[in-house]
Amino acid sequence: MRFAFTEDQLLFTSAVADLLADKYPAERVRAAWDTPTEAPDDRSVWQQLADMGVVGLLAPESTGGMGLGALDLHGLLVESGRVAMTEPIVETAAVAVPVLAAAGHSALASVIAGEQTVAVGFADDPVVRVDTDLLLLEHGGTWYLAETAAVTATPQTSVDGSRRLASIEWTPTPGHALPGDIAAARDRAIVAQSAQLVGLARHLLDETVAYVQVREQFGKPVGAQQAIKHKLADVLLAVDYAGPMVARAAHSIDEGDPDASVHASMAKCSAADAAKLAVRHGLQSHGAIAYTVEYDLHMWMKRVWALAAQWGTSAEHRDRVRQHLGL
Amino acid sequence: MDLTWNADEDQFRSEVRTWLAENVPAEPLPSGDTEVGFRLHQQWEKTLFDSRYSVVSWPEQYGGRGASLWQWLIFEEEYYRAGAPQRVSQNGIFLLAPILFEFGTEAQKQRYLLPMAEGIEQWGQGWSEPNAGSDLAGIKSHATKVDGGWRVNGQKTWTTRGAFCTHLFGLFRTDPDQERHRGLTYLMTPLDADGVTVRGVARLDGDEGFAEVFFEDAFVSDDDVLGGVDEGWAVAMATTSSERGLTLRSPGRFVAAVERLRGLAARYPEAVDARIADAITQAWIDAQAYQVSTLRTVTKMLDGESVGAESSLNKIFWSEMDVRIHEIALELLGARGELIDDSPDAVDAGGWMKGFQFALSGPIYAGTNEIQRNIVSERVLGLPRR
Ligand SMILES: Cc1cc2nc3c(=O)[nH]c(=O)nc-3n(C[C@H](O)[C@H](O)[C@H](O)COP(=O)(O)OP(=O)(O)OC[C@H]3O[C@@H](n4cnc5c(N)ncnc54)[C@H](O)[C@@H]3O)c2cc1C
Repeated sequence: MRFAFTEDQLLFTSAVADLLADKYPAERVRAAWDTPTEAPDDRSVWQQLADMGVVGLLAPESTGGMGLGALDLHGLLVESGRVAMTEPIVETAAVAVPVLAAAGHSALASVIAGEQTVAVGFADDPVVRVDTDLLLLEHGGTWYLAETAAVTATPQTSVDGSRRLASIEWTPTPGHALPGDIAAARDRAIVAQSAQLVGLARHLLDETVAYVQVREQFGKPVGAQQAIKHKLADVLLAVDYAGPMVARAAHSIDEGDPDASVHASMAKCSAADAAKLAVRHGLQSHGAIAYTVEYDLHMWMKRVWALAAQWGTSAEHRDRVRQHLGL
Repeated sequence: MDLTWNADEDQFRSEVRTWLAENVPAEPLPSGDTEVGFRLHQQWEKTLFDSRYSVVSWPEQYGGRGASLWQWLIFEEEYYRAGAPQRVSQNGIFLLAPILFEFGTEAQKQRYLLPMAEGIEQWGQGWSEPNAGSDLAGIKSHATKVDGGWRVNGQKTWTTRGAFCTHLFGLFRTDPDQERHRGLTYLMTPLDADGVTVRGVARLDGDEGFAEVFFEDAFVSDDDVLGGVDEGWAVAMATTSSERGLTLRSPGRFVAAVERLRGLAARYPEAVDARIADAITQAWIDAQAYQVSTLRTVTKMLDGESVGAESSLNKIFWSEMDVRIHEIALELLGARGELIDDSPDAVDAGGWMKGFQFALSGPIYAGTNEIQRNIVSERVLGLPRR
């Protein structure tokens, strides 16, 4: 029994964290807000992540990937959440790459190389992100790979202005079908999304802790007020207990644990609830300054609102757990 | 990450499980916070001891098995899973013993550990006083140096099961000129000593689980000073993190409580609406979260990292989870929930209401949750003290 990340996992995570600290300032997220209709023109960070092996991390080494698992990806995803990365790392690295690899699809090489990105959609929800080159679309329990440019897209506006969404219309072509386990891909997505939410929550908490120490009212930092302290302690409590749940779920996926789906659901509601609390208390502890789009925090808040409901809401995931418990 | 148990650990688990199945009393014992129940629990502690299950993690010479922290966790899981009796020895074995191991002299260890493991000597924790609760450093009970020892005067209060205990450990002011955290000393004393008077006090549930302890010129020998004179604060703080953290309330206890709650839901399916089902699910998730987080904590401890102020997060988590578990049970029981003791229609002999009342003390004892949130925000998050 040992619940800790390996030296390699920690090193890899810190390498990605360093890259993002350098290359992913808030201005980058803001830039994505400012050009809401265009796909990102600056692919340099994505390229560097691909060069480091992050994008192809889950693909077997024989296909040019790193042959690693969900737990190896975990720390990187947390970091991507911390900086509110807009690129489709969850969709491409955690969901699509293993699907393409398992299917032996020819697009895999260019995806791993960082030349093409992939978003994911399901037939029962026509709204997908369309800032990618390719779309992995579920229809009737089968995956299809389509070129994003080839589907009819009606733009939709997200509360998170950096998300480029559209409802799409497309007809599945048998020639584009890929074999693949949809449920397993969903579980990977749920856990990856949870990791990002943990990162988002940590950033919101860190920013808030920093702010309340410098903002003074009544002659002292507002962070010296117990009402503020206790709110932030509650955020830490939620985040600190969600983190291990997410890591455990990733481990269960790697181990093929029969309860991996249940662990994924627990991870998702814990992480989403923690992130939403971080938004709530983060905003409240900042006061009006965080209630303006001129202050960066709103981008993290809105990302949380958007992502907390992706891949199933907390209520849906608790319901999956409820069914597992036979309640 | 390796979340599997090795063959030794599996073997240990199955031994523990078998032993508990054969030895746990079929009928629950009366509350250990009553005179009659306490004595029965004390006998149970002796039964545990005789099979070397009372203090599994201690060295063999003191009645333990030298079990690893992992084995200790397994033991706790099995213990609560089996519905085994409340541990009336807890304040000795979980709160005093770690201090004895860390700060005690060889003679003190020889003198006190074995009878504690056997359950023959039972210890009360004498920290709180009428005017020193959260503000523990406000302690007024004092000990004055005399030949060969100390003359003690003052009052302790809220001493758990003090009316049934044989001994007390606690903090006393030994240097009256020093203020607050300074000049305190950790002392141990038998409760039947001259000048010591114990008065039992009924707790919220009516059981005599509290006591007030009065000292009037009681003598405590130099041999019973634990750690250095005037260094009691540091000694006391060394236990708080084990108390709030792992040892006092291991995950097994809450995993088992949620399983009992699921059992209750299965027995009264008509009372389980969607809201209650959702609440039970969340409670189950919380217990899982505590379990998973504990695996992380134990790994850290085994790696030699200190857990420190983070143990305050634990304390908040388990105590508030415990309240929720019992609130859900009472909600589920509806009007039957108020029936206690031997009422013919009481469910589980009113155990859920009793458990609820006890759960409500969780956010108060071992440092209130307000104090824990202060600690988390100041020492973990680094917010200004004032
Ligand atoms: C079941 C039970 C068993 C116990 N067993 C023992 C025992 O065996 N030995 C022993 O020594 N003690 C024991 N205690 C006592 C326990 O340690 C104290 O109750 C606890 O430390 C709180 O002190 P108090 O009750 O005096 O509350 P107070 O300190 O008077 O606090 C009252 C309220 O004010 C709040 N408060 C106080 N200071 C602050 C602050 N700085 N910031 C925010 N809020 C604050 C508290 O959180 C609480 O809500 C036990 C208590 C209970 C309930």
